[in-house]
Amino acid sequence: MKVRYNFLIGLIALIVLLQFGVIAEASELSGQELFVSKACNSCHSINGQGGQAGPSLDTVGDRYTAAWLYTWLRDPEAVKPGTQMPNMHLTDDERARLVFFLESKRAGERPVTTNNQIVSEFTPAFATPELNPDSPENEFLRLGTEDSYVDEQRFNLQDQIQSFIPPLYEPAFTQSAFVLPPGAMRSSMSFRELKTIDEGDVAGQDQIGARFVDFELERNFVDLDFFLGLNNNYTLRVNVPFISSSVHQQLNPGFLDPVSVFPSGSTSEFGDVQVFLKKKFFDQGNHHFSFAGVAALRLPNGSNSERFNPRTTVNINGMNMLLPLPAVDSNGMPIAGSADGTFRRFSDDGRLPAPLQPGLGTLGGSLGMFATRVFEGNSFMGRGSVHMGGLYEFRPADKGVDPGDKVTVFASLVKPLIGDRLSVDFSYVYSDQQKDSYAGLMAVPTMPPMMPPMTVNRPSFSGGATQLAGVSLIAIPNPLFRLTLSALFRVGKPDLGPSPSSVIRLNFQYTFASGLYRKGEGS
Amino acid sequence: MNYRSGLTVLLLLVLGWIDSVSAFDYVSRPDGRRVRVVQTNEQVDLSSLRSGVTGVAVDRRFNTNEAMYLANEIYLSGTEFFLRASEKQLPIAHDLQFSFLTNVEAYWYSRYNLMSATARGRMGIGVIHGPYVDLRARAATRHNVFGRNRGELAVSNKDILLTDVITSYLSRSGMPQKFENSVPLMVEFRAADPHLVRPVDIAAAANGRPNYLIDFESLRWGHGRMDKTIDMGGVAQAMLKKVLWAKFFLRRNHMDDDFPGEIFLGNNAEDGLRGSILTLEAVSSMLLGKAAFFNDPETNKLTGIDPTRYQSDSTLRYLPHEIKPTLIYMSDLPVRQYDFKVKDSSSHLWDQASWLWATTEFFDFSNPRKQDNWNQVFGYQTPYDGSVMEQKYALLAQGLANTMFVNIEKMHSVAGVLVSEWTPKGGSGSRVSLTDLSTAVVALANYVKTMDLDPSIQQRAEALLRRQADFLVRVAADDGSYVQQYEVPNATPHGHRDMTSQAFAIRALLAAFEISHDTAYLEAARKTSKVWNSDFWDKNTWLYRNKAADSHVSYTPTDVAAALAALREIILIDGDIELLDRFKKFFVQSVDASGLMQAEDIYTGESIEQVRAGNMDSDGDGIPFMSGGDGRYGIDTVFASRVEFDLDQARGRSKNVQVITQRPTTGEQIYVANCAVCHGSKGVGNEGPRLVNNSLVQLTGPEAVIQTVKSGRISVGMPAWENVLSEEEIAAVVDYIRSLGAK
Repeated sequence: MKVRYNFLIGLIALIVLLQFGVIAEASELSGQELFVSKACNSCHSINGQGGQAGPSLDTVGDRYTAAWLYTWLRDPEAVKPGTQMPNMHLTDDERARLVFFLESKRAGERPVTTNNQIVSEFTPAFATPELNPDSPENEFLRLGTEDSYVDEQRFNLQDQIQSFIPPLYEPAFTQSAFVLPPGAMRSSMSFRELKTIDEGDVAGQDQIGARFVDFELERNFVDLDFFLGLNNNYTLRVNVPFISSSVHQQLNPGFLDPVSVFPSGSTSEFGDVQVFLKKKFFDQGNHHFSFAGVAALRLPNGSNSERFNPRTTVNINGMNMLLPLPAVDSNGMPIAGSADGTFRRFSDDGRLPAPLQPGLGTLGGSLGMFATRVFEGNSFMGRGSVHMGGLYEFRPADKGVDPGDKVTVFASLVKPLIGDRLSVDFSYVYSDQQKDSYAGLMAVPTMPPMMPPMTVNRPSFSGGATQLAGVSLIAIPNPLFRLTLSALFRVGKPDLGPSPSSVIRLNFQYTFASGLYRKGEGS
Repeated sequence: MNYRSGLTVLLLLVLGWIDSVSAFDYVSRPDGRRVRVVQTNEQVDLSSLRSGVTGVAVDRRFNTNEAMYLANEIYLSGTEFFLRASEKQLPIAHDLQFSFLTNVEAYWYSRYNLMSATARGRMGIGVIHGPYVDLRARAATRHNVFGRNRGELAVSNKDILLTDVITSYLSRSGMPQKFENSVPLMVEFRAADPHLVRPVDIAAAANGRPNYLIDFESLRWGHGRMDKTIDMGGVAQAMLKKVLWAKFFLRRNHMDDDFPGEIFLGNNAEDGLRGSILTLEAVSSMLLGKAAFFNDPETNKLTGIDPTRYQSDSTLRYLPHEIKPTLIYMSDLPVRQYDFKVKDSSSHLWDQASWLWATTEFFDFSNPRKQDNWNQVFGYQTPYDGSVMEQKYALLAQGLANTMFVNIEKMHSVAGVLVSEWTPKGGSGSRVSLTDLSTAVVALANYVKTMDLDPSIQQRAEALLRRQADFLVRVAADDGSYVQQYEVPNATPHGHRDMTSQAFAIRALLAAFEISHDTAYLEAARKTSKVWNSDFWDKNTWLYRNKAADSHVSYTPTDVAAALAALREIILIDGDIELLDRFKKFFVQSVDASGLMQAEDIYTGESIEQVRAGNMDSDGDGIPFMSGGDGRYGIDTVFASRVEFDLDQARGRSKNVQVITQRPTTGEQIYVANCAVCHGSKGVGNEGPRLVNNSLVQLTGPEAVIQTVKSGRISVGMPAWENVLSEEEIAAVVDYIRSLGAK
């Protein structure tokens, strides 16, 4: 039925056109004149003349049949609800004449210009300004002739970071081979709370020459990170840690049950600032996985001289005593006047052990490498990514305290759960620390108490391999913003020293998708 | 609810279901209106063209350069061949096999290779990262005053491509939805493994089409199994293919029942959208090539040129043979370029000629001085004037074609004869292969024919063309045969006397004849054709042997392309019926029975219902549906890199199939035998316009229809049937067409 109806309209239009369009009376305005007198040209242009509010009508004859235009002009709203085209309330014959005029507007009728200069030795110029190579529209012909187009385009890459570095494939707390595009910036803040470490979490007590009867170590870390993408696949990262630790303990030095020492201390300080430079050597685009290397400098701004509470007491046979442990010289002889209550387990001036110090006190650094492989939806595991890598930290000795170098390796699997909004991350981290060492001799209380103290070399406090397994949820409310909640559990204790049984980590990350290096932007 | 109304509801549901199943060639818009998309075809019996010998694919990789070249030649041997055959009044009346081979098989195999490699497989860099989309995004960023005031500086390429560019294509083509997970490419990698990496999603979508035709996610290739070098020849052959197809898809406009009065681009909605996207791909390729792929021989660094100002006397900048991209992998998103570096700085004649050919073809597509349907594709106020691409890119194609011509003259010419290779250190080489020379001649012929050149340049190009043809005539052996390579200029032969070189020589000589009308070239081509068709043709297996006395046949796509092209051109000149028959046999043997076409889709005979039922080759043509192809999840619908036959295996087997075809008499029979491949069964329309509800057919008298059938509408793909069909046959078929009426 519909089709017949169309034929009918077509026929009517045809008849109307024949009646009025062709045999129009001289006094009547032609379609072309109507186009102006009815102010069609205030919105529509023909041959570049007219308004820009509505579509250009240069090729309208190719796009619509006469019947359609006729119906359209009668009531645009009825044909296309919500259209901006007003009903011009034309009479039937005005409409017919206008349609007759519009139907003649077909491709091929192009704006003609007098600017007909020869611009190429090969071909006469096209007769239009748009096809003159010198006209501003044709600026594209200069693309890549002065600056490298690829460089220029690369520097605009960070504009597109929202869609091009999907955060749902980045690991929650381990590293990856991803780098930021040149000019992109990112900031990140994370909070790490270690579960309170008690005496059961302290390994190798016989090696340290004392038994922890009661031990409590609280630690938390706040990390501020700034990232900046550089050219040639480099990313700069500055890490500013803020470390809080507090420890209090009761130990029996020399396994002497009657003797208890209660050293305690706490610190809240900015730690060593680390500057990382990561470079992606190759990408999964060209190889089966991406691979990046990192080098870092650890600046000695953090303190390595945080101390125990100087009022450390000792309980011997039920008697609380102050000043029990004098400093000793290299021959083990007490230094007069030094028994001031300071616990001298790690240094003569009573410092905390190296793992609890915010800084190294000297320049350190690290070297590492990371590999990442992203899997597509059609892989055996569906969408996801796998990250692996290792980092070697150089931690030189300072003021008689050698914290020991540390090597960390990790593997992470990141799997998007709900679209692009939520991912889960399973990670395994293995870190092996050389035993720390403390120079000098320390005094050990003896029985009976009035005897001069025994002196021994200071034993190590921590060292060995810790293994952690973690699960994280990564929420991405918006491609620039990422929120991560992680829980890590200890699966392997180190040989020596305290280690937390679990860690909770919370991270916020925001990427600035704005141009720092924007190139090629033109005017 | 009583049982009667329950029954009515049930009946309506069943009817609705039947409707959705049978309405396979429509897609529905959310408002219920339907849009016509491309129709499927039923397999025609080709068994009489099979010798019984089948080949094996020994290398299943997709080689971009060779496969795209074959796809191009097969395209030219497809509907284009059918059209030209009717123009030359070859005896193709009622030849359903020829009609099916050209209009369906050649057509679709070429189209399959195009879609699989450039839109679904992701074996290259997508247009989203290309200069066209990039320039649009930058312009939008500049104009985005409100966003800028809020501190949002950028409009991303993705936003522009998906919301501006594709949306305007959708509205101009009438297609209601874009293809999901489609990655249109601007630059293809050199080679890739086309095995699919997950099961093809054959389940029916809401609109009745299988999901995989709407969402290409299940048709990806493995990213890890690609050779990511960029080969300039491959890029150009792929670009040529995009342009040829864009021209085909957009050569005609269409209307849809549910959108009365609106005229959309393309043969149908799907073709309109695809054609627009291909235009975008080709423009992106040219722009990137122009802006980043030209080598500076002094520094061996890539740079850009302004092709409209690149003259023969300016500093040399040329397209090197191979470029190595540094890529950024972004998982679900199309891989992006970070940098391009020269990998092989030599210049290959094949690459330059392919670029010349592709850009010439694009210029013809976009030429505003030529009146054709493509004037609607290009406009001055895209998209507000209804065009899908800016007219200004005609300048780019023109400039690039001229640049290629200048560079070929400058780098590859030794005493006027072209050589295959040029290196920055050694300059022009001293040898030319027939493959390269022939392609250069064909490209030059196209350049001369379509570029609208200044007379002095026209003369220069024609002279260069003739020098090559003269060289070919000079180096031919006494029997007219050729070997693979010749030294330039002293013409010392090198290599084998193989079938491919004969075919390339024929192609080149005929192209030169077409331009110069010098019969010496035609005679030379005929002589070569004679020796080629007697010495190399195997009468039992219907294959050309690689070497005259070798019973082991091994084809790359280039070999098959050369042979098909040579046969096609010689048939069109001489109208030799025996060679026409040979064309059909060789086509079926070398493409269908060889394993070269590794899988097919529902447009060439496979039935999706049968596929769902587990029958992977329901049309029994030996080419399975994708899922039934090699490998765990099947293989994509692309050409293999090498196939082999053992002719000894066929010895003693005699095949003597006599096909007796009844000459059709009734209008309906004539229609089925000649018209239905394009206009669909019962005139429902396919790539050709619908004949039912067609105002020309229904409203005017029979005379106008008869006139159209007789003289055709060559520009939009309707052959002229005068002198092919008789007057009575035309009258009968027109009566039949008019009797189909308005539904």
